[in-house]
Amino acid sequence: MSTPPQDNPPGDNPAATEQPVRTTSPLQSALAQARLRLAAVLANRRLKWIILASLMVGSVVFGALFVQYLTRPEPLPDMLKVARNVSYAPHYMYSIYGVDGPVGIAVSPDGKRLYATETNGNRLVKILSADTGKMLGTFGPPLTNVGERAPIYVSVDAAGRVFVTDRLQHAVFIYDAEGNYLDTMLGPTTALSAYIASVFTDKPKGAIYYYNNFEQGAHYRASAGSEWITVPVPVQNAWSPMGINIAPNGKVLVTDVRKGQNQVLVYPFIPAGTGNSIAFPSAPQSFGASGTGDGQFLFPQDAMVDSQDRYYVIDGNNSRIMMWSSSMQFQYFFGTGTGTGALNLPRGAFIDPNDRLFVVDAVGQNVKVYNVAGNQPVFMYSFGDIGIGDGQFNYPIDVALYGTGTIYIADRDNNRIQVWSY
Amino acid sequence: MIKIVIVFAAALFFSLTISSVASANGGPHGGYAPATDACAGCHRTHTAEGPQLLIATSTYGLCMTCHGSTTGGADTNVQDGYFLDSRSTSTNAITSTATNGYLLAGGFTMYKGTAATSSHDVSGSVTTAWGNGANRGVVGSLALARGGLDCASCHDPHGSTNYRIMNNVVNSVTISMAQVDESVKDYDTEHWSTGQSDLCTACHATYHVTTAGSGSSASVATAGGYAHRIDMPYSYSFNNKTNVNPETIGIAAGGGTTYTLPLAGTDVVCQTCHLPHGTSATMSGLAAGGATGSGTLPGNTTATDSALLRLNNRAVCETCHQK
Repeated sequence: MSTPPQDNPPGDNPAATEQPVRTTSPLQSALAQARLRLAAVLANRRLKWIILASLMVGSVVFGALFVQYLTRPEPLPDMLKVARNVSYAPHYMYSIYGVDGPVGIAVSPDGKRLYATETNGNRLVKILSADTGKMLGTFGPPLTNVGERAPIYVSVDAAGRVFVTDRLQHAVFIYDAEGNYLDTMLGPTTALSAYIASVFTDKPKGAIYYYNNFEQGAHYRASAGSEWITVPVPVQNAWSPMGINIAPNGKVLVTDVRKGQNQVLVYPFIPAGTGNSIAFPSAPQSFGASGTGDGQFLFPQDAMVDSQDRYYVIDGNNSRIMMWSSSMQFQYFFGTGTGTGALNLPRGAFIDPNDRLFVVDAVGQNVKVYNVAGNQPVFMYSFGDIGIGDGQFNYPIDVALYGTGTIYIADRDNNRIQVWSY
Repeated sequence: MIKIVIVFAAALFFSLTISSVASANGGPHGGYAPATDACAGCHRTHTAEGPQLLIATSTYGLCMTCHGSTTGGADTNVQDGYFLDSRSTSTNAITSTATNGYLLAGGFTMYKGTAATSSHDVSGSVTTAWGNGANRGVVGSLALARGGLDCASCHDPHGSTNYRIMNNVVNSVTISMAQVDESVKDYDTEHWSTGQSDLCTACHATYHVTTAGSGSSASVATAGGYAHRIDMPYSYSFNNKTNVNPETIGIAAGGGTTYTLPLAGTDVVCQTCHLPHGTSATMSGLAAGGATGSGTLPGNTTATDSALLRLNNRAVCETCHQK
């Protein structure tokens, strides 16, 4: 078996250096130079490809980062925090979407959060960032299904507690700022916590209990791991709460639309009780009655106080605003008749620290503003009209302000919260 | 004598001080004073956005502002099918809560706490109706005066001489349904009068079969098949078949309660079996169009279409006939 001849590399065979030097022709030399140039060109082209590819990759990465930059959550435009003594109407800023038939709106004390009640979808309260419009969470009465709740108006007190009226539950549910359930106002003088405490005199500290009108009772368990039991709750048909408003001085105003018993309930303050509960200090004061006459209401939507502690009641189906003195004596009503200040079907309202009264006119499809600082109310202006465009409303229901400059409106059938400013 | 004076004075005092409850024909729906400002609540004379000089383009949206799920201006919640101020064990066989009674007409989006499985679409977009052509079991075009079907197609927001402020004329058909004292707000008893069927068949015309023996008579078969007679006496019997007649004891529908279907006086009318707003009754098996649920026969329901029936499957048949 023979071994095939092998080509040894020049450096591996010392004898090779002893071979005679062969002369090269000019052609061979040119070819060699051409090969060298070609190799250089190829090497250069490869380098270019590498550079090009690097540039492309870099461009893609840069582009992606740029797109990310462009689409990043960006704080919404800063707005004038305080506008004082302006006589002109506010202007539309932007809308926050992602709400389904919003009917109630409230702002947290620091202005960072919005609480919007929904009449469609899952009928929950949505927490929205006032800065970005981003949804931060949802909440509703625990252990109820969508057909058992109908939240309408919402208000937040100085401590950040969120009060929500529910038409189907005939109750006011109270939550903390994060939407964690605290307690339920079952009636004008009854809190669920107080009722549970009367039933379970040895109630442990960690006991959990929720109310559901449709079960005519409360779900109760002694601790997070224990079994739920249903506790019958006496029929709570003494009221039908709809509007709720917590004044800067702590007063809690609830409008009661129970048939034949329309009235306003005024609580001086609702302090915290033990644990998560609330404690009614005493029976509320009340004023008003059902009807169309002076001092009478038909479906009062909301009630609030001005800086002089005078009461304003949005008398929904009578299409007017009623003013009561600080001692709860009827004074006069306004917003009726014809003209720009006349109301069609008023719904939610808000009074700012400058005693400007903002009233949502659901059928008028605008917000009407009255100056109530003096002895007589003065209509200032309205803003908004019917439609689906920017600054247009489709059955707005409620309004809330942060300070005196930022206005939030629940634009029900446009499924959005509109933000206006001066 | 003193006692008589005291009694008279007390009666006078209470009659003057106890406020009357607004009926369907009162409040915003009629009973207007000459100097009323109520017109401006819904209409604009020169700058209206919608037809009939309405301030709004959507009649449904307008009505829902008071009668929607949040019932911002009324106790009648037609979306969920509740009246928010009544305790009712009524004919529904399910106990309402102390504060929420079931609406007798059902609900458009929910009923008895669950999603509606069929309801009238009153958004203003519907322009067809079952049985509005030559035949039952098919859909015919509907030419309502206001365009599409909406709340005002059946109800008169200004009040009417009919029960539940039903229009006096619907789709060119005169409607007459005797009023009752609605100040009582009786949401436990249905007060349909014999004219009720005219209301439904104003649009669903070919279902207005009143011929005796129409379940077997060829005289009605040409319109789409034999048909159950309406506006007929509840105790009707035919061909000496004693079991044709409805049972009078109702049917146990669960919870030990008995369900009896409502009549117009002694007559079977559309609302005896159907809820005009919407129902959450569920259909399964044959009632949902057969084993496949395909509903291939004309007018068959599908699994998601309960044809506004009051009760699950065909419990409305069994309630009367109890085979």
